[in-house]
Amino acid sequence: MKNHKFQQIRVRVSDFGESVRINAQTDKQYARIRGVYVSLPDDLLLSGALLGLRVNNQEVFEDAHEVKLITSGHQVAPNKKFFFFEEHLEAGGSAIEGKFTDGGEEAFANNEAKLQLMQARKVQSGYLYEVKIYLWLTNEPS
Amino acid sequence: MAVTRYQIISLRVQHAGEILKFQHKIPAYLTCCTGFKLSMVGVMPPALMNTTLGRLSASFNSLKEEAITASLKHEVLAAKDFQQLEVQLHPGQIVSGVYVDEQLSEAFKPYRVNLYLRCTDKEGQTTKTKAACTTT
Repeated sequence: MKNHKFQQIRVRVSDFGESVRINAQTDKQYARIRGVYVSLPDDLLLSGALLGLRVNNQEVFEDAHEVKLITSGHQVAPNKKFFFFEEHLEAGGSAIEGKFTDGGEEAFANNEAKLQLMQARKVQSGYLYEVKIYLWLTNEPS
Repeated sequence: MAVTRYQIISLRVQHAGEILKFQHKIPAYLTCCTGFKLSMVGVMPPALMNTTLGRLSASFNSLKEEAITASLKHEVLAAKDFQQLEVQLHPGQIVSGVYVDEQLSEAFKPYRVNLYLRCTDKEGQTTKTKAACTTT
């Protein structure tokens, strides 16, 4: 039996400044959530992006928690990227609720070309981008 | 069971040189603060890169303990780590403080400052921070 799993939660952001509710459930075969990593398609999107997270109705991060504090860039080694939870967070089918908030158009204030690219993408595909939230699930004791 | 919670004190800076006072009540079940981090939310002009945007000081336990004095810098690769803090909290008391914007540049743009406090409950102290909090 595997001891680790990286469960992915995808959040589709349709517009600048939008808040998207997250509802998911952790894999029942794993005992606890060891860490979290949030992946955004562009570093500029980090500016002002917020993520609230609740596990089994217990608040882990307030809705105003900045994503930049729980993620890392390309300069960080792949096996060091996760934000580890200091406390024991139950997995085993736990309810994951949260809210992702986009930082708005201001994030591109110093890069007009990229803003236009994002807007063009929105017209083509109907959404701006997709956030991937990875939960590191494990059966190892804390 | 151990509990770690992040308290966020958010301040909006509208003018250059603005002085903002704040007061924040930490929930009574949190008894120890083990770390803090200052963070700037917003987009700054490139001219302000690597400059100090402002300074913050904060007192715990209704002004009895001044535990934080820190400056906020605008950096691309700013550290995301929390700075260590060792404050035993008295239940129901407040954190208060002041943030002073220090920008002299005409390129000022409004921004938000977030002060994150990493706090734990009594049994929630990790092995790393336990000694620190119980000795104060």
